[in-house]
Amino acid sequence: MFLTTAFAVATVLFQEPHTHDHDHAEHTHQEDPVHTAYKKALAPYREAAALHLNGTLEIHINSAAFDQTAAADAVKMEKIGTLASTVKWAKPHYGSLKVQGMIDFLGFEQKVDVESMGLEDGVYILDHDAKMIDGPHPLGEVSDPMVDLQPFRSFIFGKTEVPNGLKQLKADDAHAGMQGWTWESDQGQVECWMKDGIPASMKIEMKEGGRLMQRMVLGFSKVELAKEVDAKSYLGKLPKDYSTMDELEAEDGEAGGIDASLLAVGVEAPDVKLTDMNDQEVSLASLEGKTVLLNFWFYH
Amino acid sequence: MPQLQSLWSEVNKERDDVVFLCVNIGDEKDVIQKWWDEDGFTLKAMRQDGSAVSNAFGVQYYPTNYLIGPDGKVAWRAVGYDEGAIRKYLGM
Repeated sequence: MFLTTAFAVATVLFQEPHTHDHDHAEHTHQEDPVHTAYKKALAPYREAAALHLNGTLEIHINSAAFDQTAAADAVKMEKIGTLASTVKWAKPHYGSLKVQGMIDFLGFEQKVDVESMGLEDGVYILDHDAKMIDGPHPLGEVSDPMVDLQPFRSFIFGKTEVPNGLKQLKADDAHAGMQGWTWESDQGQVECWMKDGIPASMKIEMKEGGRLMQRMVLGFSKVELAKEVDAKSYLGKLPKDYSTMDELEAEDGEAGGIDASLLAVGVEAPDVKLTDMNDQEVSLASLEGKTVLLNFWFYH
Repeated sequence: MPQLQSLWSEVNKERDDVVFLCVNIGDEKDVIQKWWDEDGFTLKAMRQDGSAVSNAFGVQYYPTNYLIGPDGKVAWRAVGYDEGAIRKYLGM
């Protein structure tokens, strides 16, 4: 669950180059030597038809964010687990992701065994067998139905030519002989390293309101590229509600992904009725004149 | 929810024109109450008739957040929790 949350949050970092600054990056900085070096190093990955990855995924969280006694801006990073990861990904958007291991979240041990299939920019979690080993989880079950592979895609396999604000890193002792890049936004920072033309590691730090909240460190032990593949053979299992890939694509792919079913910005919000914890009815219309945040959630 | 709570604590201090409603789907009232009590949330937990409200807003994934403007129109919405975007809209 932290894994999926981490990935979901990470998407924010990588969405920007696709939108308003994409053209800007393409045209204005075309001759930037850092961009040229990045594009050149990643060219084999852009040209490949499929990618196979084995590695480890370390997850660190800001435990102070879960400590009600800590200051609102306190940061205390703690490693909660190292998971074994296998990614198989074929262009344009077929893939599967397996993540296995143990997470120890502030003393609550949890087994993670995730298998998923990917579509477009997203990965749909199919089997999420996260078992409680040591008592109830302090946050309850939080499972995101979707994770985003955009972080991988933009670095090693992506459509994004150059991330916003790309800078070259100077190799320190820990990264001797490697090529490194970094980019950041107010939502976090990404650092990636390549050795002998092969992605070696990737560090993703995510901030919320300026505060560091999560860090993921991916170490790649095996990276392989394939030239010609039957992309559909890379599909994991289909989600239960779908019998064919076309059905799934029709619903989630071209129509704009996971946001597609939501009401469009600018439309009149429906006048719905809600019940508060004192059994009082509240209609949305009665709140006109105020800004209302509706957070849809569940515990179990 | 703890993150939303911490944002709400901040918003509630400065703004009386903003309301946060946490619309639950599928949980029993006492389960919600227990979590709220244990974690000391001051957010407003709301229940709905089945999934009537979730459906009216086309919600399929959780969490999903909507911002409804003072004019009663959808101002922003997203699957997941993007505090940066919410802050930006609220100008905080």
